[in-house]
Amino acid sequence: MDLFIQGFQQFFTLSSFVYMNIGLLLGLVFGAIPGLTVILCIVLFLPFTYTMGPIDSFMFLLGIYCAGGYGGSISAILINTPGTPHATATMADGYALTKMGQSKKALNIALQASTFGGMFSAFTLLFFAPQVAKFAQKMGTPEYFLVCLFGLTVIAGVSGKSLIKGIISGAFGLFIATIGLDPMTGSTRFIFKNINLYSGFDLVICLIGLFALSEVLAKSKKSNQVTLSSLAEVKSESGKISKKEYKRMALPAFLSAIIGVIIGIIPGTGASMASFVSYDRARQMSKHKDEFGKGSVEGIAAAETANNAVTGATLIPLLTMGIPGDGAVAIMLGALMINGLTPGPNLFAKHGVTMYAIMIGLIFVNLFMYLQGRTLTKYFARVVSIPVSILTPIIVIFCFAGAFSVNASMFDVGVTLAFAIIAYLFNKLGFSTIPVLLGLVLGAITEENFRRSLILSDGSWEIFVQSPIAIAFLVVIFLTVAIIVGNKMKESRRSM
Amino acid sequence: MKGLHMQKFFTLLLRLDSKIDRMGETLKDKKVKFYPTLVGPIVFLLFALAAFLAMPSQVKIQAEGATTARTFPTLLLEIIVVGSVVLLATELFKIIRKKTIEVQEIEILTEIKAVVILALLGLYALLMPLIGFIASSLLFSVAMLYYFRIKKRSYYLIVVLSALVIGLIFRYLLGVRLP
Repeated sequence: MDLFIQGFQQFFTLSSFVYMNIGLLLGLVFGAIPGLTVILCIVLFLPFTYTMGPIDSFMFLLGIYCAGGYGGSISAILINTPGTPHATATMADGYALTKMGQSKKALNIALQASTFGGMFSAFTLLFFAPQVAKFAQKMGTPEYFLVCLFGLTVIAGVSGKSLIKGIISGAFGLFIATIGLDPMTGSTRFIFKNINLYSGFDLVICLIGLFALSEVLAKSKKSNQVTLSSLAEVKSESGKISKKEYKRMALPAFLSAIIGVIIGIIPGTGASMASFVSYDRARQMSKHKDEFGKGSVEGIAAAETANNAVTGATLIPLLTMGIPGDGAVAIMLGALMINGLTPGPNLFAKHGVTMYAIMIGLIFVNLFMYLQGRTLTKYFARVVSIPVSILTPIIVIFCFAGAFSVNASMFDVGVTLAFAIIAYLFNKLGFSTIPVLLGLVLGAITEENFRRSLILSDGSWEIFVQSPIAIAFLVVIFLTVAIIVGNKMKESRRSM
Repeated sequence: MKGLHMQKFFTLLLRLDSKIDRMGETLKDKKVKFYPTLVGPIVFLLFALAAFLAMPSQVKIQAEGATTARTFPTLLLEIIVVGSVVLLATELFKIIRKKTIEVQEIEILTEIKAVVILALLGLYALLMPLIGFIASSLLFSVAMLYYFRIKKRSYYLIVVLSALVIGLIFRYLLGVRLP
């Protein structure tokens, strides 16, 4: 209880609220514009968090992360183009309502459902994270290596069609993370006598190249213009949701929140899976099945609740064990490290107050997301029409300034460009870059715990199957990969 | 005199414009066949091979023990090699059994556009230490809009102002000593 109160006091500062609201605004804008992603937004603004403390920077990034979830539904509803992949489930019903002249109602449902999902998830985090953290503190080095391996199972979920390709990409990311000084012996590794590489590649610089600049190169294929249809209609209707509609949405929203939380805890699954599973569940349970895809309020409520219910749940493994649940959260892990908070089982023991402050902050992030959405949605409807051709040079300038600002070095700008080319080639060859990100983020702690374990066991790999916790983790890793791969096989069979 | 120079400059731009248009028209539907499932594993195999060859000179080990500085990178390279060999073998097996393998058609025009954007990015990075961040950003943003064939002056104004604002934010708000 003491930690809770102290956490609340640390969080409750003017700067927390200011940064949170700036983050929310940016998240809504980036989520709403098709072609811009939440990951891109987090990467672009990560350099800004260098001067903030851990709580302020996390409020800022959580604002982007949560609002991005809702922002994606704005363009899905208004122009039939999801701003984020997980808004795809919202698109059919949301746009159908827009065509019926009820776009404001669809936006209101999406906002309220997103807020409910986010709140549910934030309270789950507040309740469960301390319990998981207590368990995490009992782990030793070999168990923690397996936790890192569990974190890398995210790769199974983000590999696209081929798991092997995902594993190769992940190994590539882990390999890049080994470049520089070996933390255990002090030997240099693959630095080719370049002094700039002594401390390895900075995470932020790699991320800017992999996820932001590579988007610019990809613009050579995409169209520069966003088609608009019904923006004028947003202001003209009341957008009121009737009591009957609230009643219809209550149960699907509640179940979707639970589904979102469960899926969010499992690394590698993410918001898209949560929104589709919940949408499907809501359709099966509904008395108005025929309305789904044609403007169902239950459909929008289910999908939007679920994709925001993932946000707090993905933070449970992150804040307790240092395992990122998805790509965006992996970058937030980088923000923790920048602020000197080493992820791992002792994170809660050493920085309990900060962790509580972040968890309490998430509740307020969702609250302010609702307030911003309520007052600003009509303006965001205009935002979706910003041409990508204007945004592209602005993104590049941000990227270069951000990359340079990390170490005040032009070498880093070159590294960013190199990583952009790598990401472009990966894309052409059908390899996902998210596993590279996971490898980069988890590389150092994975190697350290792997090698420490082997030193303890004098080189014997049996150490990884000696304790009950280690065996339990191996079973969980196996089951997680099996579930994700099984789901993918089902999906591909369905699409054939 | 000044007006004459401006007129010449705009005529040159118009000529360049129509030349680019003609080139675009010629390359519009030209495509090259590409086998990503074969090329991908080969690229990774070559990468792993190069890293293995560089290992002795690049990663010095002080003493043999349960683990050394080479242990983890070696394990990762082995994973890359095994993964690539499995992918390659699967594809070769498909070819032998005369099954279809994934073929992608690469549009030459799209790739040229990507190379041009990359060249602009490279030029921007090269100019930055020479003429300063703000000046190079202004030049880059205008060049990008011109490349996107944007005619609206308001777009140029927005982007130029944004470049200025970003430069000032980083310099004065975040205290970054930009070039």
